[in-house]
Amino acid sequence: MKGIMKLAAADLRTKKGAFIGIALLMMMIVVSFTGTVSNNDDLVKAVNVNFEKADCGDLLIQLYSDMLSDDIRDTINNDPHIERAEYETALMVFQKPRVNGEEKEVLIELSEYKEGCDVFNDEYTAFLTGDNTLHRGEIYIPYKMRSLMDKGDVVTFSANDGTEFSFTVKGIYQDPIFGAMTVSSNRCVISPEDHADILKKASHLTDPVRKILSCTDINIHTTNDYSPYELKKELNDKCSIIDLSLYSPSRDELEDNIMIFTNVGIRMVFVYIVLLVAVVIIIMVNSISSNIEMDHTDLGILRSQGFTKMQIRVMFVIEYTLALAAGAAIGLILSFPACKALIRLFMRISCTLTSTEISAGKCAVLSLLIILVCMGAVFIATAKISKISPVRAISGSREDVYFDSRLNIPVRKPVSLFIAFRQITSDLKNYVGAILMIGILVFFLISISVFVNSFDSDAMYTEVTGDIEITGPGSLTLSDHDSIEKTIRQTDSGAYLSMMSMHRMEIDGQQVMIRAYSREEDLFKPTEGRAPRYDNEVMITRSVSRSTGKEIGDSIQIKYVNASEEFVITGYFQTVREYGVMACLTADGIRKMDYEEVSECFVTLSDLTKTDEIIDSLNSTYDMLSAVRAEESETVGRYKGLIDGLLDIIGYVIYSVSILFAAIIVAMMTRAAFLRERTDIGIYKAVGMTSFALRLGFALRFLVIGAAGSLLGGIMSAAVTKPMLGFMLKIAGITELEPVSDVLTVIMPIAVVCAGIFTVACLASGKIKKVEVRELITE
Amino acid sequence: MKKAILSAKGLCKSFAHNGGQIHILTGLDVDIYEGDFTVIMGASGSGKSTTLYSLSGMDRATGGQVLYKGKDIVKMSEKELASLRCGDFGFIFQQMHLVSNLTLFENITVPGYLNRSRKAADTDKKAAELMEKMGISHIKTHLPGQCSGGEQQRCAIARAVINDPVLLFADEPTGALNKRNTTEVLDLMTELNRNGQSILMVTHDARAACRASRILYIEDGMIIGDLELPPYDKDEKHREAQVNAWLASNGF
Repeated sequence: MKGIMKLAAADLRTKKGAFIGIALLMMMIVVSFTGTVSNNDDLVKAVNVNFEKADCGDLLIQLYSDMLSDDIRDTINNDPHIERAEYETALMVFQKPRVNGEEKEVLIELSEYKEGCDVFNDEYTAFLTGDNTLHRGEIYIPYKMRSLMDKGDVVTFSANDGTEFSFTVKGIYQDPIFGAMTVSSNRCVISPEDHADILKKASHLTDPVRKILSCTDINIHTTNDYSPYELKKELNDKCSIIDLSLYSPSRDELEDNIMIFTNVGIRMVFVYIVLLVAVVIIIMVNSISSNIEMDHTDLGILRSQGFTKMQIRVMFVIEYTLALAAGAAIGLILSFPACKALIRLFMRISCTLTSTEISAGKCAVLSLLIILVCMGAVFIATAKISKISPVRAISGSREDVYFDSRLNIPVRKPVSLFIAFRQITSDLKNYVGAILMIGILVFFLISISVFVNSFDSDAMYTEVTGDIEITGPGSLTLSDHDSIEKTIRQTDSGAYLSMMSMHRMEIDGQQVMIRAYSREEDLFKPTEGRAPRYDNEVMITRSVSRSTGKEIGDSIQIKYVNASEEFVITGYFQTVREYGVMACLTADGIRKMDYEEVSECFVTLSDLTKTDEIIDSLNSTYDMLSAVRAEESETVGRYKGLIDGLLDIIGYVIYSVSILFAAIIVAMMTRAAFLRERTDIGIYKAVGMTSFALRLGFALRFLVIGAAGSLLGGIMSAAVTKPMLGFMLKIAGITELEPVSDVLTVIMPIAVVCAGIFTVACLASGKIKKVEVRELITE
Repeated sequence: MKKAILSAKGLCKSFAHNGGQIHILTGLDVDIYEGDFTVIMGASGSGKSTTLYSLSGMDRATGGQVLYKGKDIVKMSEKELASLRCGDFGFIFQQMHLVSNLTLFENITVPGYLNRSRKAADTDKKAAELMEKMGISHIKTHLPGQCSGGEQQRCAIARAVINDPVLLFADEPTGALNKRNTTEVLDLMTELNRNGQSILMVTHDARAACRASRILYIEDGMIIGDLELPPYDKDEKHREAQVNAWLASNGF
């Protein structure tokens, strides 16, 4: 064993380049998964703690307080599957609040302050200790609103009777349930006294204008013998509470909402790590293969000196294991800052303060697992050693291990180019590995580009848009469309009105968000089939199709309160909203369901100079609506920016890691190629080739390998990217995100990888200059 | 009157070693003449290979000058040297040094393709002729590893002359060959010289040296003997004895 260790140590010294490369690759893998796993674990832990602290039940139903009838209360209170239910009142402010006198494009909700509310310090790195109690006139805003207002700002809004309420921002708090960027609610906290005062001034659903509405959050704890979904269905059957609700998420759904990005991230990283481990195994096998060829004589000498095949193989395993273990150890150390950075990054979306603990045990086990897999691969790769005959090896014959390719490209003019090709074809086995590795990296880069492209924040947030936004403090219905549009067209004949109505309804037994638009053009674009045109047609997402087992051409039953109608499926569409569980009807279709309340309404003008005139005309003609210039909500714009920014960062990080990975691989391969071909380089120089021509040929060879790998990656991506992304996103809670790819998504990663490889190969080829013809001289 | 095609004046070559310098050549003067088969002989470590490589520009001299066509090889750029190597100079190495993944035919044609003044088809034709002449046309698609040492060295000779060099340098071309292959290779070189090829060869084999028309004897980096011989004739009886006696007089 001592002899083996000495040999291994000598090998590690003399071939440190290859081992450093392996250690670096392993380090990057460990940093990637440790950062991601720890971030996810910390967030899961924090969310669980926060939900427990907030006493979040298994099901949360929010509905307007006016809708909360005694019948509903009785049904809930007497349900045997409900252990307990708490009722809390929240106030929805249906107006743009003024911050320091300036209107802000944000809708807020107000909750009562409760003991234990977590208020951030100024750096958002910890919570304030001591007494955080809110007094009259004070307000805490959630973390996600921190860029809209600051401590000391004054927030003002009014009730229907004109009473003004003003609050001074006392601090930023962590909303444990609705605080994430991915949740649209902006829930602020005020003192119980203020809450009670505002509640007295709240409007009712029957009021023509509603500036503040009271809602009730019903926090339901089940008896654990029923899933929240079963309970929802049962409650809805008894008292239509779900149909009447604003939303009714289960605890799991609420948690998923907060962790949606880390969930997607962790899955992406795991796929990435599997691919990177595959790449590391291939590069190790390649490196071992080259070593055996180059050190063929030395290995023959070792065998002639009494080393068994097994001992030599063990030596290789020890060497690579040491390199992998060193990489893993450095990776674990580097994970601490990486984890901190990742947590701060994801906190912008989850808005949840987490610890920055490393999941050391879990990650060490994972590292060990990877090392074990790699050790197995090294052991298998060294099987070639058994073929080495000591006598033949010492006499210089390499036939035992030398691979002569049958596919050889002839050498022609221009020599550099053809030699580049020839070096590949005559050592095809070695380069097939390189092509495969680059193919894997390109495949992943394309997949990431497709993912970033598909995950369009516009699709998450943007609804119908236009130049004038009409909000309805009063009730605005789809039936008002023609009348309002007529009024608008009196001023601008080319203008049109877009209305969107939405509500949850039951499709074949499950709750699905149903949308209807006054204009067919505003509907989601079908990915298959066509959009609904008639009042008996519906378009659904694939998720709904799967859960109902119905396809295009089939009929589905939609129920809402007392209405029940049959619709024919005309097509599929995609959305990331509502976890992809959605359906679209025509305006007439949703009217058939006795529902036509408008959620969003916009006017698009053909003549923008008439904006003010139309706004005045609408506001003076209709009491129940309020028309204003449409601006993208600051909150929505900020959310979109954050999500796009985060996706870009994820994309850049993965791009950078992949390029670095490819660079290390190419550096290792060029180094091996250089060592193998050192004599040949001298010969080429001796027959008149310049260093430049040789360098060019060297770099060209790797460019060709990069191009071949990219082609392979492109093919793999065409075959696997869509189902792979679909699967990953689905298990992360985002269903039916149709991967969008264009020429740039494919060309960009290929160009980046090829350029990176060519650059590294050019740099590595600098060694060619140092090769002297003199090295060929035998003194 | 013989015409000098290569002239070295005050040629010096030193190597760094253990922080100091080892001086191999210290002001060597020599002319190599057109049409000659010049052989450099000397004991091991005398500097004969260093002289060959310094004269050919394969290794850059540390002092003095080597004039070829009025230009100093010592001061030539890498590009100029490369041009010289694929045009005016040809090289044969002791260890053949064929590119292992190119066939014999390709090994011969590569320097030809590098010669811009020649078409690829002409190079192919010339390579085929040379292979025929060297007796290796039947193994043109073989890789070097599949050939004997003699076959490889014949291929190396064909490669060296593919561009019709002005001067052919050979560094112990028979050093790694058995007796039969040695004779074959020397016959080929003699034949080339007979057809007008100027050759500068380093050897420590007295029999190989007998093929020369001029023998230079080097000791400690200086030429201490210069023997002119008539053109080689295999039937000449006393040539080998004459060369051996001369070498012995120089301390060989």
